[in-house]
Amino acid sequence: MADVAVLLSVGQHPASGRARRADLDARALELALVECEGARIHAIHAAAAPDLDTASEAALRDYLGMGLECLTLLAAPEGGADAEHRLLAHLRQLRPDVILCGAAAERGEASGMLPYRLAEALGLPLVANAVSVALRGDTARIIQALPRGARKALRVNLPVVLTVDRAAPPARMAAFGPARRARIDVRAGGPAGADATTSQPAHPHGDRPEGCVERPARVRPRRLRTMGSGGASERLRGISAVRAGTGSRLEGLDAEQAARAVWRFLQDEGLAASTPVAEPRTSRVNADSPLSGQGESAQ
Amino acid sequence: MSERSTRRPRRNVAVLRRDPRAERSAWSMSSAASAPSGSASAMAGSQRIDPRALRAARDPVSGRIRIDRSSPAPSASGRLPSAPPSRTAEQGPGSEAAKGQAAAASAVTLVVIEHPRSIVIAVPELDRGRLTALDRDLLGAARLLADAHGGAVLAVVEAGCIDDLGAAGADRVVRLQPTGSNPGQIHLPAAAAAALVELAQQYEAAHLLFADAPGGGADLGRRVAARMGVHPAVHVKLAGAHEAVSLTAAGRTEWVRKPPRVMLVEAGCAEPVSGRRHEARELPAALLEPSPGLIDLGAVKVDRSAVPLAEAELILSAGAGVTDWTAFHALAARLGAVEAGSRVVCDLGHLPRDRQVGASGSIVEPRVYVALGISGAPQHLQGIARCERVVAVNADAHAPMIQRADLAIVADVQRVMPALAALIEQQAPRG
Repeated sequence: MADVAVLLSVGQHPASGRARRADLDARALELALVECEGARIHAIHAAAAPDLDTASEAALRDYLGMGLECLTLLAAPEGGADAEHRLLAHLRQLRPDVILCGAAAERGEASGMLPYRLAEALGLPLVANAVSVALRGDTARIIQALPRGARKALRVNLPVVLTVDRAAPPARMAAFGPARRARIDVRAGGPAGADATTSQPAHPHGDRPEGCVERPARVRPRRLRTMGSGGASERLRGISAVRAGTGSRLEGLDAEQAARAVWRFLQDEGLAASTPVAEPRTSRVNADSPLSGQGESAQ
Repeated sequence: MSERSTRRPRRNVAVLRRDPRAERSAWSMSSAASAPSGSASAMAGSQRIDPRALRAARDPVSGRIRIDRSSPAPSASGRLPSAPPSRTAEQGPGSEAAKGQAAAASAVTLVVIEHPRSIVIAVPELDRGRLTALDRDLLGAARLLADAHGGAVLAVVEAGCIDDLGAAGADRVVRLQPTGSNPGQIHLPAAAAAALVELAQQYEAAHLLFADAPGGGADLGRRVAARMGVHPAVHVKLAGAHEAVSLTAAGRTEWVRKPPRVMLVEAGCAEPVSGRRHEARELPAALLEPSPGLIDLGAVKVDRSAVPLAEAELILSAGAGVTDWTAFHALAARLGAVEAGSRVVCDLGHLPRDRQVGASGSIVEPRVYVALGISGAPQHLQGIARCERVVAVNADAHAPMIQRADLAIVADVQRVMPALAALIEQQAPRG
């Protein structure tokens, strides 16, 4: 039986700023619940503070309400080793086949570096932006989302680290009852002994590097499109000109000729090589995930 | 002046007849400059001399009367050669060979940095072998960092890059060349990260810059940072020579710091390079080796018509001119295009509201936007402002959409739709 570890964090609502289930982490958990059927799912959260406040607990219970029985909470020791080291120590002990997490957190730096650092430290391959996982023995077939709705298949040896972005199917709702009934297992400070050597003292500025100043984000004015070279008249034209087409205009064609002209244009743009869909579409599938039409679309 | 010109006729003729047009033109600077002995002075009866207009009309260098026929060519060639040498001289303190060659045709300075003091590696994301707007900003940011320390920009690109990297500001170019028995199976970000870490060591790169765009640089840059064990700046909004501003906490706060070694920059982080051209000297290619345990199985066929509107590559859009909806849906399925419509069409319920393109719908940026029977209201044209190519089929030859389109066809949409569907069906077995 495969072990799947899902790393969960406490998110922050973009408008109200309140603690919530982080969207991307919830999608990662959804992927684990849907695609890794039969696997043991370990939900792990490395707390930032020694004691969990009620808002954070409510956010974590929202993950549990998706259908988990328990969640492992790696409590921060007094004086604090950083979360990454606690996670690393726990994952070394657990040895999961798949480590799933959201592409970026919603608090702190939210740089999305954690999965990459974990993969590097554990010596595992990493696949970003996974939308589907099929475990087959000691390999997995992963479908990765690319821009413009494209998808790519990869075969990877387990264990592997996967990150989940917005292309993955949206998470299910949390059920209140199961969320109340599920357990939160608190583990203090990670494994003793190893901690003393691997942990680092907490930074005075949180996880900010030295000389780094934090301030509220400002909305900056958009840069005008300027043409640097040439005279003033050229610059003015560059800014003010309405973007017009290259303007080939065909009149008096019959329908076949018009169709041929459009088709040639699409061929020149490299878009006509598409394989036509065999049967005309009857209904629109879920716009969020192009692959969701294959089976696990929302009921 | 005007008093005199109006009073004098009063003495001769009994009735005061004012000519406001002549008065206005007598006061106008431009008419005095273009015609110093023009009609205004003739009417006034004496020579009108306007020193300001005359001064403005003289060239400051030669003292001759300058006639501006607003043709950019003579003024550009007259002014440009004086400025560039000073600009190139400050390039590269260690470069005696740094010389400005004003290319006669384009009047763009070529900058050569022979002995750079440091190297800044820039990795553009590229779209079908061409630089994107973000890539140009990225190279502009790399240029700032390099110029501050007398360094050079080394662009690391995929082998298939066909764009002009020199004009974008690259001094050196390294291409990534896949190797091995089956180069198609190499997972690009993993292999490129290994190659880039080696390049950074080999050239002792001071900074590595990536485009923080999904599907390319976002993954690659983080891999490189993790492998090098450095704390990168990601979502960099402003990249200067001495300061980098990056968005943190999902866009709530920003961190201001000295530019770290690895940066992932976003669009608008710096000005793109313009007015000069760098050398883009090709260096030996870097080889991409397959990473163990990770095999690329290639693209998966997806139903392109289910892709969200904002992400779509090809959009087939219907306006009020479309009445045969069966043909429209069939054509969209054949083309593998995403369906969309104008506000009118969505108001009438022919398409769901989330398919509406325009100011009150979604703003789309596909590669090709096919507008069928859409006249092109300003609100609709706003929605497609960022489209690369637009094809319009419309019965009205004077519709704004016809002017906007790259390929405009004045024809009956109802007939073109089935004809195009039939044509694709014909071609399909061959392709």
